[in-house]
Amino acid sequence: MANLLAIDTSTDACSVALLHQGEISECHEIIPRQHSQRLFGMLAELLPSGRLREQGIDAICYGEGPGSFTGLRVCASAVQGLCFANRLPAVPVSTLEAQAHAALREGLVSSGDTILSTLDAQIGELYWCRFRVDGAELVALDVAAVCKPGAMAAAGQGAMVAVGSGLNHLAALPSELRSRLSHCYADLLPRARDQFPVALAKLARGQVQSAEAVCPVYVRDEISWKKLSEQGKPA
Amino acid sequence: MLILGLETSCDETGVALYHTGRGLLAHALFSQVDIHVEYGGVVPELASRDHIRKALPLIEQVMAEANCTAGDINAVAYTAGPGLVGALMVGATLARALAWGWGVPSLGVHHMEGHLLAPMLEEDRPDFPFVALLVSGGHTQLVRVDAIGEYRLLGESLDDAAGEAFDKAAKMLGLPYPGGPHIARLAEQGDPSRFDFPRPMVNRPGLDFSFSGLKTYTLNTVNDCRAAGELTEQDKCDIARAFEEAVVGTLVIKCRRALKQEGLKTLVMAGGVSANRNLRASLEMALKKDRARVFYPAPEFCTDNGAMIAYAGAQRLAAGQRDEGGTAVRPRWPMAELPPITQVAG
Repeated sequence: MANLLAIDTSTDACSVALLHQGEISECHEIIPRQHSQRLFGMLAELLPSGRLREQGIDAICYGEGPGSFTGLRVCASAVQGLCFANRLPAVPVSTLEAQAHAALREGLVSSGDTILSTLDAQIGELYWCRFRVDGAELVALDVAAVCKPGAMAAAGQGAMVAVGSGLNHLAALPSELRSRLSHCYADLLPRARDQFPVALAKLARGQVQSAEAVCPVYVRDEISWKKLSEQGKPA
Repeated sequence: MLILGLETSCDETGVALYHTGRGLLAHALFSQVDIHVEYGGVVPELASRDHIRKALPLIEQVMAEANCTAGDINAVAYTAGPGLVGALMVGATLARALAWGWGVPSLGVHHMEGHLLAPMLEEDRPDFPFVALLVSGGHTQLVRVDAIGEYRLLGESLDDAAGEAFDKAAKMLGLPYPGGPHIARLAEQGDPSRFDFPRPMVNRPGLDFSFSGLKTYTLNTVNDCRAAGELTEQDKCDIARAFEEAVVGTLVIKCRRALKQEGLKTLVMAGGVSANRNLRASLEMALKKDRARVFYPAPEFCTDNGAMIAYAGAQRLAAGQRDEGGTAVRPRWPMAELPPITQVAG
């Protein structure tokens, strides 16, 4: 099995994990807005130095998004630097998928279930994506999306297990959708260790990135800033 | 000692390699002006999003140009502040990760110290002590410099920075961002006798600046022209001329006053506005009369760049300073808090 380092700083959690010779060690702290101050200290708790190749690390996986924009960039910048310095490939993993794997690892779902993985996108919106549990694997049923809770339209009729901080908006979801949620686990978070199942599969398929290609997937691509033409001023 | 320098404090991604024995080996810059121009100013989120795409390719570019490998790099310096927090965070985290991955030290550098030391990249460089005028879109400061890290703030803008005033005046005239070069271009065609704008705070003692009154005066003049018919191209040129002369005149008066107050004969000017040709010519002429000299960086190192960060970082790293603990960026960071160093390294 490959040896992997995983990083996720997409939420209030700063999460790093090491998969080494099949054993997982991790460092996971809830530290809002302090990720950059703690990240390298946490990495140093798992690894004696940043010379990862010498320690047998094969790739670095990271939470590509969606999530806090600044948090995603802290993660991606760190992964860029570590991959470039060590000439290692990177493996991007969706934060929503890692969070769904957390639900699977914690036994909150079983094969055949559908998981609605959500994250609070702030400004009254949420990120979401559904996954079907297929044994120990997850199959994405959507492309990750962002929307206002009242506008959320998850296809299908069946029951879903909802996870993640997007459930802060539970009361504002359409009643039809709410009635399909068999269980809600709002406290679940994307955790670095839960990237490993996805990353190992991607690595086996050769789905890796070079350091330069490492970049957050924001999902929300439009920004609230107005262009001069929209401000009624000449460009 | 070979230092990789990384600058991402605002809307330019700058990277450079500086060697304490051989000087500047390579530098590269990507300006985001085209991204921000349609917004009329820097959009912080867009700036951060672009830095993360550009920084690493630029690092590869300078390493290739300098014909160096990762093993040749002895330390990584990056801008830790002041600046836009999200933009700073990208450069700082990348720099820390590279340094940790390579097993070399890193150091967060003060952006304005980088500007202040940029003239040291030239062959004809100033000797300490000197007075520095730091004049950019974010800062207008007069600083007494006795050595690297021995800074005493003599005066600063109480409101807008000079570069910011240029940007705002440009906006009033319907000119694109950043405004400085556009104002300067129009000013060349302007009639200097048509308008006489006030020189803010020159009649008051002290070395502080204020540009908000000048901004209002400019707006009123623009409105007067509009009320009299339309704002013609010649009106714009004449207003640009009067505005530029008022800013330049103020800066010159304060610089001379600062040199006289401190009993010094050397002025260093740095920051984006120091590229203004009228300002350079006026200062040179004025200081000649006082038997003083002005030094400034090459035009490409007046605006934000990686070379100045690599140089400033090299000085402090050579003196044994390095990052300890977590990556802390400082969007606001008074330069007087910097520790001094005594020895200049190359």
